[in-house]
Amino acid sequence: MAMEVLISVQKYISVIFLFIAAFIWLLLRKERGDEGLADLRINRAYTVIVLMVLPFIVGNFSLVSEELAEIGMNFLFVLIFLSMAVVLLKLNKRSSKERENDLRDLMKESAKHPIRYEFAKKIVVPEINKLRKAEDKLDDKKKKIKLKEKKIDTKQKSLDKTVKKLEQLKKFISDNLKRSNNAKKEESVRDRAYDKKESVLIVREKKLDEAEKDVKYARNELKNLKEELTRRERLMNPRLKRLEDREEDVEARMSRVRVKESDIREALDNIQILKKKIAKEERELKKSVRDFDDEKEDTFDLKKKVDRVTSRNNKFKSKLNEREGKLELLEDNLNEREKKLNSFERSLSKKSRNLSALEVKFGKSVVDLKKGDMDPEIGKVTGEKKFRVKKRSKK
Amino acid sequence: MSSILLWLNVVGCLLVVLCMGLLVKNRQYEKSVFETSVNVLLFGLLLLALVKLVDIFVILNELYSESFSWLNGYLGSFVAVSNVALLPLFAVCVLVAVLSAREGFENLE
Repeated sequence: MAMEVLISVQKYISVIFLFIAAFIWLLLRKERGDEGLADLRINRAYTVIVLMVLPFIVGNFSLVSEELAEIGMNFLFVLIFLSMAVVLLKLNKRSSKERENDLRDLMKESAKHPIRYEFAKKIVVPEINKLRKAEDKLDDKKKKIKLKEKKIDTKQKSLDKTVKKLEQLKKFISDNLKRSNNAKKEESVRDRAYDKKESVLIVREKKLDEAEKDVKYARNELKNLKEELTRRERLMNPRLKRLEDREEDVEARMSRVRVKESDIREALDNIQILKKKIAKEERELKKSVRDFDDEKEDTFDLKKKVDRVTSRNNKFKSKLNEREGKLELLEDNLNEREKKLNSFERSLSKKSRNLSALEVKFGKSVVDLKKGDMDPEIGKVTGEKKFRVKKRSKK
Repeated sequence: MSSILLWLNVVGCLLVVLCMGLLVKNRQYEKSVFETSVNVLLFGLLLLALVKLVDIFVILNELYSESFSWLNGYLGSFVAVSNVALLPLFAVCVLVAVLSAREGFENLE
């Protein structure tokens, strides 16, 4: 029971993990787009694999029978992996073709391919270093051989000297022998007298024989040395030939390496030119950015000024509106006063008309009335100024 | 029904193995920053292939119980392991592969 619960829980957990993975991948795909994901060649395979959440959802959350759900899950599974296999097969073919083309480009001497530089950097340069080391070793060996040759030459010279000395000795001995023979012939008469001396001569002859033996021995040694020398020369000749061949081979390789080096230098020069161009473009871009920032700041200042002017205008407008309101109020007051004055004028004209009527009515009596006199109908007669003051105080 | 399931599982298992092989071939063309991600995905596919293999054994045991009677002793534990450990591990591998790929993109930037 517990195992069944654990299994179902684990299935749900798997679905959740796959769902999270699918969500993250699709979010990444949306953020970067197809071009952004191009760095990962098999990004489509990832898109297919995150679809694995679908068969798990069908298997765990389906409303149909368990068998149908299982068949549906397996069918989806097969479909997903079939599509993944197709995608991977296509990608593999495309990538292998691209690689083949790259390798073919490497074979062409004229084509300049980025992998060529990588190839030159990773494969040619170590080979060059190895060749240089081999060249150094060969130089060392050459030097050693030259030293040995010199030593052999010096030995040969010394041997030649000894041979010459021995030849001189031989000549000297043969001359001596001849002389002795001559002396023997000449002194045959005096043989008897020189019997005693003969024994000495015999001893000398013996010594001379020994010396001759020594010379013979030296000659044999010299022969042996000469044979040894020729043998060594014979041994050294193929080595020297081999060394010469190797030297030629190394020179050929070096020439090839020099050609490659020149290519690499050319490529490096091109890269530097490109770098300079990029730097120049960067400078121009920075300058344009700076100009843009300056213009931006200018526009910002202008905007600020325009805002200030508009705020001032708004204030001025509000003041004008207030003044207009006040002026309208004053105009209304003036109109009211005009109306009042008109009505007052009308009342005055009416009163003047009444006064003229009263003047007509009262005739002379009124005309004769003086200031301060009392009339039973009009009352006390006052001055015009006093009358106006009274009228105002009444108002 | 069981035979259909058996064929589907067999085809699925073969396809998973084929995908693994193709992924290994494609891995050599990938940049080194994505190598971890592809390796994790490969490991996940290996686990999935094991799960499919266990499913195939279960169905074979159902269909030909006499021929595959020797599996009876291990099949229960196989199924338990595949459901409890291998399937969640596959899901975790897919998640880690996706996260690693995202990190690879960030590193490239």
